[in-house]
Amino acid sequence: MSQTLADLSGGRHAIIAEIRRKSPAERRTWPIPGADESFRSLYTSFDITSGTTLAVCSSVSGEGKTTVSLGLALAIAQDLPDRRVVLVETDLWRSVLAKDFGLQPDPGLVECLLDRQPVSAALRSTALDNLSFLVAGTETASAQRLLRSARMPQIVEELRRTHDVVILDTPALLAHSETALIARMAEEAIFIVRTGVTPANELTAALGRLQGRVKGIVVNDARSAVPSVVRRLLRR
Amino acid sequence: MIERLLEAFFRHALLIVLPAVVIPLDVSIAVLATPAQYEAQAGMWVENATYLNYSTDDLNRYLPPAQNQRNRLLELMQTRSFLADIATKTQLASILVKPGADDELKQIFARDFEAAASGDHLLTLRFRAEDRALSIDVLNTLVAAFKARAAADRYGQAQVAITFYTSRLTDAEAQLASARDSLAKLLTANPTLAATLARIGLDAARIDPKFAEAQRAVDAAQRDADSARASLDKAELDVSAGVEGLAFGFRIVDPVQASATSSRQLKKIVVYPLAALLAGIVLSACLLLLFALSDHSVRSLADLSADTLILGVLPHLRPEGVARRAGPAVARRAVGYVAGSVLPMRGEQREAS
Repeated sequence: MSQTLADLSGGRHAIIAEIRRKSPAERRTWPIPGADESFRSLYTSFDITSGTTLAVCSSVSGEGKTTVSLGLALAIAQDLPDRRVVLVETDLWRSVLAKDFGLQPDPGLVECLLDRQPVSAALRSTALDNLSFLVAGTETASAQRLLRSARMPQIVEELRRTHDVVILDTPALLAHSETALIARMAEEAIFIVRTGVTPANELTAALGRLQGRVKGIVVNDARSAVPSVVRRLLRR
Repeated sequence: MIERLLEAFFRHALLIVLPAVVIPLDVSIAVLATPAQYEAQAGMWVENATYLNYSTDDLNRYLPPAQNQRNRLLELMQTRSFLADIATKTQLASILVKPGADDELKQIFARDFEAAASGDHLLTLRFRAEDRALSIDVLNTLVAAFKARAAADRYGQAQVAITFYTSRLTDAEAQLASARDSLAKLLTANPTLAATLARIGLDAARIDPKFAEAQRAVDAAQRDADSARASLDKAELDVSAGVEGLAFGFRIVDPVQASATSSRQLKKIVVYPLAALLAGIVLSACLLLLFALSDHSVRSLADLSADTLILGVLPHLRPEGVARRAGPAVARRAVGYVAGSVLPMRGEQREAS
């Protein structure tokens, strides 16, 4: 015989909160120790709870934009189950999400931009109920024209209406000028700097292109080859 | 800058340390593999012949005697005949029967022979060989051959001079005899002139122009003969003085001798590896500088400008058990595992992103 919550309380106590049983995906632990905490501390450094559109940019490719975007989206979705999060892959030149997750590349952002598909039809659900992906879509030779089209801001606006957090994974800023346009569609932008990859002399130029829209810098892959003993000795 | 250098060093540690280890190691092995050598040494005191006129001397008057003789010896060492001359008198004679003997001899002397001017007058000669007796023998022969060659050269030059001045004297004396004969004939043909000459002496030339002409010819021939005789005497003096002086100009102050043990080998074992170590360290330092200066990427928070806001610092995202240099796809798939991506395999290598 099943019992309801009202039966358990006997009607004498008011139910002030209900703790939902976590889904298997929510219970999954991150395979990289400490990575969840790193991304958690990252999203708490800016006000994500009010709902926002966030552009993740970097100066050159290979600095970890997609990894950081993915980590942020996952951390928010896992920690805040009541928030709907969408990760949009706007790098149409180096699309990786579909391949990494074993998804069909189309329909994706390209198809949405070409007005062949509604955005809702292109969204891919994930193991987390509140996290969706909008993958780049099929390869196209007219990626620049598509990203500069009037349809792009419309898609972002549509996603903003249907989701609490929209994360835009952008192309490399110094390689594609469209990144600055995409960053302008977001309320805030974070800039990824990867140690050993980001050219220090081009960092200022890249930040300048975003015209003060950058909330701050995320240093990725921060590891030093110098042994900790030597570093401690140097600090003395 | 120190942090950058340290970063570059530990990042490319193997490559940077390699020259400082490999070069001395290789040199040490090469030195140890080289057979022990004995070095024979001789000291020679050389002088310029001060009694000779410098203008006739073939030596460079602006160089000290030791340097002059060293240059002369090294020039001689470039000739096949001189080397063959030494080789035939030593155990190196066996080389002469081989094809390409000249080149081999040249190589041996270029490698194992040294002539150093230690000051203005002391010329130190060294020869190294695996056989102690051979080193002494070759150096003895070389010194003797050099002395003999120098004496022969000087003697030859003097002989040419003597022959030349002897020939000149013979001609001059013949001319003198001819002039005297002409004068005698003139006096015989003119008895009056002979009487006048007997009465007033050579003033007779003022009266008789023919007599004056004949007398002038005799006087000129006499002067030529005197001059030729004086030159011949000087050449003969130079020959005897030169040959005598050679003994003084080439004195062996330190006779040829070689140490019983191969002392230079010890020097080689210490000096060469140390020099190689130094060269290796210099090369390593150059590599380190090259790596540090060519790295224009952001390496630490200190490389970012002070006014930039650091939102967070992410560690190197690598799942346990996956290769250290695994590619970005591995990190992405590991991060996305919670959302349903396939976990990267253990030991997975770099993938094309």
